[in-house]
Amino acid sequence: MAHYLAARVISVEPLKSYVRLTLEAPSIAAEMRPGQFVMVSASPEAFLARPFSIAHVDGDRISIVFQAVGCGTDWLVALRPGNTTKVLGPLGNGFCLGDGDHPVIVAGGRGIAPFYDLVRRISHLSPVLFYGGRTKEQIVEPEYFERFCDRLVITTEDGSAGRQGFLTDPLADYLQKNTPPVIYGCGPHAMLHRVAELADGIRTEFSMEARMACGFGICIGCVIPAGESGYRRVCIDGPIFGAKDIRWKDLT
Amino acid sequence: MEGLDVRIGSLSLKNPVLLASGCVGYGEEIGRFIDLSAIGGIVVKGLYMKPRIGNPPPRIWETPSGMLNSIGLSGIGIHAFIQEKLPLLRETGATVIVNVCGETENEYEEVSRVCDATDGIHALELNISCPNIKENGRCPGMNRDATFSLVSRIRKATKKPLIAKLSPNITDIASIAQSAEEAGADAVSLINTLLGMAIDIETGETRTATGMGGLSGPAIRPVAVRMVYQVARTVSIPVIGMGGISTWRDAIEFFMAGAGAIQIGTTNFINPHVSIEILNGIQDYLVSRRQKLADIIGCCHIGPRR
Ligand SMILES: Cc1cc2nc3c(=O)[nH]c(=O)nc-3n(C[C@H](O)[C@H](O)[C@H](O)COP(=O)(O)OP(=O)(O)OC[C@H]3O[C@@H](n4cnc5c(N)ncnc54)[C@H](O)[C@@H]3O)c2cc1C
Ligand SMILES: Cc1cc2nc3c(=O)[nH]c(=O)nc-3n(C[C@H](O)[C@H](O)[C@H](O)COP(=O)(O)O)c2cc1C
Repeated sequence: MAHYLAARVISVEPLKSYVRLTLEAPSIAAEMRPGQFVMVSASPEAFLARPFSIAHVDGDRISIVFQAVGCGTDWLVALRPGNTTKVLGPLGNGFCLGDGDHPVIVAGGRGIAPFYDLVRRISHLSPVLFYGGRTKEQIVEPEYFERFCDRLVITTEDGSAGRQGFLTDPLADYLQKNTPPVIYGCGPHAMLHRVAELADGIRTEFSMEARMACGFGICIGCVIPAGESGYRRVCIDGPIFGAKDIRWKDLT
Repeated sequence: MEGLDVRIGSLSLKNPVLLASGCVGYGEEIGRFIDLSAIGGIVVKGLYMKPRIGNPPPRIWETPSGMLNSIGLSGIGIHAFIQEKLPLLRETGATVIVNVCGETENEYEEVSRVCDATDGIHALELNISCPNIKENGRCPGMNRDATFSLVSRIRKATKKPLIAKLSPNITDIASIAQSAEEAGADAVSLINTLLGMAIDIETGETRTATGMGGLSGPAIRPVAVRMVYQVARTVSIPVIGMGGISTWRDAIEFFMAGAGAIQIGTTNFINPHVSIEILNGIQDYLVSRRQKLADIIGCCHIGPRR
């Protein structure tokens, strides 16, 4: 069940290219599953709330990890401890936690956010994380992920951290030799499309994005082309979709 | 609180706060946040005979104090609604109003007949803003004759309370309201969204995939208050006002302009509890002023007084 509450800001910390905002939201923290998200009211100027994956859960607290890209996220960066902001959540379906060994996780840039909590919960399955960014500034807290993963493969487009290139290159090599039980993915849709092609028969759990108004299913605004025809709502039918359900060619 | 009930034809609403069509789905999701039997009623998302896929994304764009939408009346169709959603809604004890859509007059009539024959649907709100496929996309609500013709036809198809929902995308809304009244509507509701458009200046592309979209939210409130005022002075049936209501103060403004009831749309997206908060605010306001709802309906006058 989702809750709508005024959450107190605990901290706002820069994380290289991103920012971590930690909020006191006990009911949301108690109920969230990895892969779910929250709608955060961001500034009196931004009329609608903004969707963010829940990154960490710690006791009564949740945090989001985000990139400042516009008026709403800029306002969130300027929050200070003790301020409050309205939060609605937890929302969406969340990941299905399988039980096979060596699940693969694919994260592009800020797409790392939903995996903070996931890796912690599935560390006993020895996950393998492919983590790509444009530069090393987009690779946040590799040491955290190393603790919970069996292997961490980092790529950057400029070679400033890890291997130079796209994460789909080492992923393709890995999938030639291994058949993971599931591939979890979050990142730019073009990246996820490429991963979908590589996955070829392997179960996938991709976190998708769309502009949202309500975040809980009532406006039907955040649809993506999915299923044989028609659309599904990212907020309530997702945000986690199997790659096979998405009509990638129709995705804008 | 007593004295908050509202009559729409033969229907008595327990209070004047309703949820607006398209902004609360079929009640399932919003019903997890609020007790639907505590408010006056819920107008469900517009329904045609058949399911509709709706428009391609992007469908929404935020604007100053509002949003544009081009959902394209995506919906599950009247039969699926009755089978899958209405039983749940009935369990909540909500007063259910169906927003009736049609691509042709025939379809409007078919949907209305189904609603008329279905227990648990308390009233019909005729969405006369649907694009008519035979009329080049023009909607019946754009002219007096088409409004009169459609409302008269639906009046014959149902004994249930009939509300005509008016489009603001016309020059003289009062004359359309008058046509609806003459054709037998029990009430009019207004306003539907205002046509708008936004453009990405980097690419020159429109922000919604269909080009235009419907503007809603506080951005349209003064236009809505003005139209409610004009319509309320013209017709003698109840006027249900909406457009950007986000607090109880906004609601009072609509009552003073002449609305006998109000609907809350877009604000539900941001705060799913808002309808209850607004209802409580209206009650507190009336109690503190020792007034009844009827005392303030249409009480506004041209000011400021010197
Ligand atoms: C389920 C879900 C989870 C998300 N999780 C995260 C997260 O964990 N971390 C994070 O940094 N971002 C996340 N996003 C994206 C985030 O919601 C947007 O970056 C944010 O809404 C931008 O708000 P703004 O007011 O700052 O930008 P705006 O001024 O509204 O827009 C600035 C730019 O951001 C893009 N944008 C706006 N809204 C979205 C959106 N909903 N999805 C994708 N791009 C958008 C616009 O196209 C534009 O280029 C998520 C989106 C969804 C749908
Ligand atoms: C996303 C969205 C979908 C809507 N769908 C419908 C609809 O199906 N039928 C209808 O009559 N009005 C529809 N409306 C219009 C609202 O019911 C209401 O008339 C309008 O939004 C103004 O009120 P508001 O500013 O409180 O939202 C829709 C509005 C929005 C924002």
